[in-house]
Amino acid sequence: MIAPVVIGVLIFFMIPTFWSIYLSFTDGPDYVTYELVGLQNYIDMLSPDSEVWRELLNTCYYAFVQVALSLVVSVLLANALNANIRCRGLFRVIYFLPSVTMAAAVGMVWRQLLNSQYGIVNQFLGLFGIKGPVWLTDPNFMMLGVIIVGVWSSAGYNMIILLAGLKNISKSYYEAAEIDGAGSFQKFKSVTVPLLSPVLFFVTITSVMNGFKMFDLIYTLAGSGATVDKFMQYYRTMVYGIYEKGFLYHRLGAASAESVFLLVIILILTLIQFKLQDKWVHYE
Amino acid sequence: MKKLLVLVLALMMALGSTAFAAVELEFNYWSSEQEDGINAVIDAFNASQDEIHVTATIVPWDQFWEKLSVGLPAGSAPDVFTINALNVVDYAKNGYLLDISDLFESGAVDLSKFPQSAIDTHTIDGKLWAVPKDYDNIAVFYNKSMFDAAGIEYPTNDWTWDEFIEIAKQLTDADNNVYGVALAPKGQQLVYDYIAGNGGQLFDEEGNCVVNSPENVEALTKIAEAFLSGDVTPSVEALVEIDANTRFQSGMVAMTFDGSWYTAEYVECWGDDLGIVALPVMKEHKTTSHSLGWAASATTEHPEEVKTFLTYLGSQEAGELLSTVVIPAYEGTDTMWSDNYTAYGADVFTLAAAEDWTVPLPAASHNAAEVFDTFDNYMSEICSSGEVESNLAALQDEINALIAE
Repeated sequence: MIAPVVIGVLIFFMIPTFWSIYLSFTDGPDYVTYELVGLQNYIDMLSPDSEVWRELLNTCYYAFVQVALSLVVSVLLANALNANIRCRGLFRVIYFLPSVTMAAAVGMVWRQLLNSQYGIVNQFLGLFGIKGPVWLTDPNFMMLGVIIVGVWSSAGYNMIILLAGLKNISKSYYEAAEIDGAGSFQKFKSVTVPLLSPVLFFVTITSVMNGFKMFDLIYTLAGSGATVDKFMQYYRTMVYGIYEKGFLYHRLGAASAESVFLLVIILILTLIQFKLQDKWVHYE
Repeated sequence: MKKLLVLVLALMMALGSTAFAAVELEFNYWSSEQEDGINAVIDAFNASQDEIHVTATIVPWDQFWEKLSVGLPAGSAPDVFTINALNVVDYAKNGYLLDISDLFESGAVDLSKFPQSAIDTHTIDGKLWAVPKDYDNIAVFYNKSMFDAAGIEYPTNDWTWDEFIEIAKQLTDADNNVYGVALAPKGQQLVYDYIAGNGGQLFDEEGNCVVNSPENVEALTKIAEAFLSGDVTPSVEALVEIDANTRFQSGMVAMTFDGSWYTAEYVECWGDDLGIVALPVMKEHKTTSHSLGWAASATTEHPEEVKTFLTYLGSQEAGELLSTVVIPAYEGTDTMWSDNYTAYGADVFTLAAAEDWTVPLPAASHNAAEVFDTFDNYMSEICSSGEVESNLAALQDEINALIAE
């Protein structure tokens, strides 16, 4: 019965994973001719002046800030849309829409929205007398722009999962808390968050993984103009670096080594999160 | 009734079997905007004989090179495909391209009918690896209505760089975000042209990068000055937000340096307000000319049929059919293309080829795509910082390291 799943996982996940581990020990001029070079790709990648450190920094910046913001926003949204408000279904759909929009379209539209002179983001900031930054080329704000778009496009999806979690919290807990005189913040802190923590844990783990695999928004937001190093160095995440090496410059060995590195990082982070869950995740 | 059915079936089988007897060739290209012209060529070839049937498929640019890079060494590549200057080098050196030199030696494809820069583009280690398909080069597109409004005369082909800068300044209204020109800090559309136009080189005869020369420092200093003066072109940063192409099409700049491949698009946008003129001269007229070629896979199962097809692609008839969509390389058919746009001055592109103003797009002898991108990386740096010499020295080292790899 499980054969189709096993075969699917084998063909699309396990074999490619081990194949790219093998490829990370090779080097060659194209995709088919290559020879074993031992650890050379790893030595190059991990040398102090390697580009990978900058990419790792960008990736961490994006992943941690985006995940933190996205979690806060989606918990608040889920709470708001769990309450009995009018047009609840409509709002849920609206907030979920970004998750089903193609990243390519999201990037194109946000490039316009973030334009420093004509974009509505800066016009909105202007209403409050704030002179908005040049989101797409100012080194201090480039990744922040990507993070904003990332939060915008991922919050809805997290919200739906959290909503399902909220639905599972029995009303009797809230009633009991009310009898004990708890206010709405107290209820949120002492009932909602602990009982939601297994779902939050799931959302955190998948969000961190997705954050570390960031590629599509960078690819589309950078557009055609920003792909020169002068700007790309502030955007380039590890997966973007892998894409550049592997598919633009045909350095399959170096690209594979970097993806193994990324795999190890995500693995370690996930292990740490599993260790930490005893401290805050509350299973009923 | 049954008899009729049998007869029809038999006829169909007969027809079917003759169709199957034809050798099937697969042809891939990426330029979807040339679809009409390329289909016309393929249809005409298929109709001209019944031994070979070619099927053309458009593969988008991003996947095109991925597909070839896997397919060529593995032997699963299409039989015939279009190729550019940046990829022909490594493919030819690795032995992935079909040796078609006998076509040129026997005169089946008459090389005297093709421009030298197109031939040079696809000549690697003394051998020509592709039948030249088309050529392009760079010129200045300008918006006549903006010149009229400012009371400035339209430029002519003999204008100099200094005159150009002067005109651009007069057309600039930086407060309203209107500039005289949008220069893209890139090799092909700007820097290669003036490296050659100022008597410099990117690569020497042995293929070593020699970009750090006094001539090139001089040319790039002038270019960087244009960027840093603030009243000629939008800055490098501003061009990332809104690129030169968009600025020209929306009337935010009066001029832009661009390739002949944009002619149809700009004509559609500006109609009679569009003018095209040669690049302003620094020391001598030079313009970067790139050329695509028709190449074949070394592992094709039908080399003879492929050569027959390539011979047709190198014919005058194929050039004529292509002239609706691109400047064909075949002598005399290029002006058929520019005749469509003479009113706008597009004959400057064919004039540049005829007058020998063209230099082939410089392609490194190894890792060409990465060298091309590295060059553009440094141009953004130079045009925004104005530090020419240190950047050219670093660029030269980096490119030479990539070539030597």
